[in-house]
Amino acid sequence: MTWYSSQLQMIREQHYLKARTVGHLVKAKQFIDDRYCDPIDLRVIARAACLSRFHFTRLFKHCYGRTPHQYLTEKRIGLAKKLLADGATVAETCCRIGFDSPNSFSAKFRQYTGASPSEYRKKQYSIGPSAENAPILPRIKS
Amino acid sequence: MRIRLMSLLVDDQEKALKFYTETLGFVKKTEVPMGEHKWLTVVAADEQDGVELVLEPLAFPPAKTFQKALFDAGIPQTAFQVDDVEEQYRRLLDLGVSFSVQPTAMGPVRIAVLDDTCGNNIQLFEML
Repeated sequence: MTWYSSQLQMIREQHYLKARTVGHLVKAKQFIDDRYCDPIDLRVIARAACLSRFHFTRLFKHCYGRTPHQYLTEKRIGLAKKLLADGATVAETCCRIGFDSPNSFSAKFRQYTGASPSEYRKKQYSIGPSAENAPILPRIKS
Repeated sequence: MRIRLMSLLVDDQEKALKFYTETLGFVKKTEVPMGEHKWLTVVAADEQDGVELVLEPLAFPPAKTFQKALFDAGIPQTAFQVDDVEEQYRRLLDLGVSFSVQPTAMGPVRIAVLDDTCGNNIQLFEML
């Protein structure tokens, strides 16, 4: 056994959550992956994981290194970037990714990308289509 | 400021290019001759505008010592994300790749560690 393998074993035994708990959290993450365009919130996600909101948030952060809300926002902003690059308007994008208001969408988009949605859209058009901007869209509920 | 390049020291650039493209499945992005060595990068086939992996010649002797120490301890130089670790493990085993860590669950991640034949351990990881 290499030094690295022994470290993996030690970390697995001493620092990771039990497999059953990880299973609940993986299920919740997959729930976000499948439904992030829907108006889901922490209460709904925690319920999918069969855990209380507080307990779920703490365990999710321990497991994935960020809160469920941060993860949900990352997923939504990632899709917003694809939609904007593909020509969707800011209003359409905001609506399709489950944000309540254009203002909160714009503020969050700027926080994650450093640009406003309209600035980002304009820049994508100026540099032309690329593989990164290819429209690979998940199922979006109307 | 952006992260566009990631360097990996390899003991033979031609051998590395062959392994990283033909075995792992990356795509050559740039190849610029520079005398004995070259500026050589590969990218993921489905993210060709993504981060470039620079296959750097291992010409600095102390770096060889450092690389060997990491390799002997089984420590990965870097990690690549895959959709399914088990599937990649089986595919690469069939291609003759050797693994120092077989597919292993680590909390919400599944990992495996392979030998890139160029002096490095490379970790594959799948986010569950």
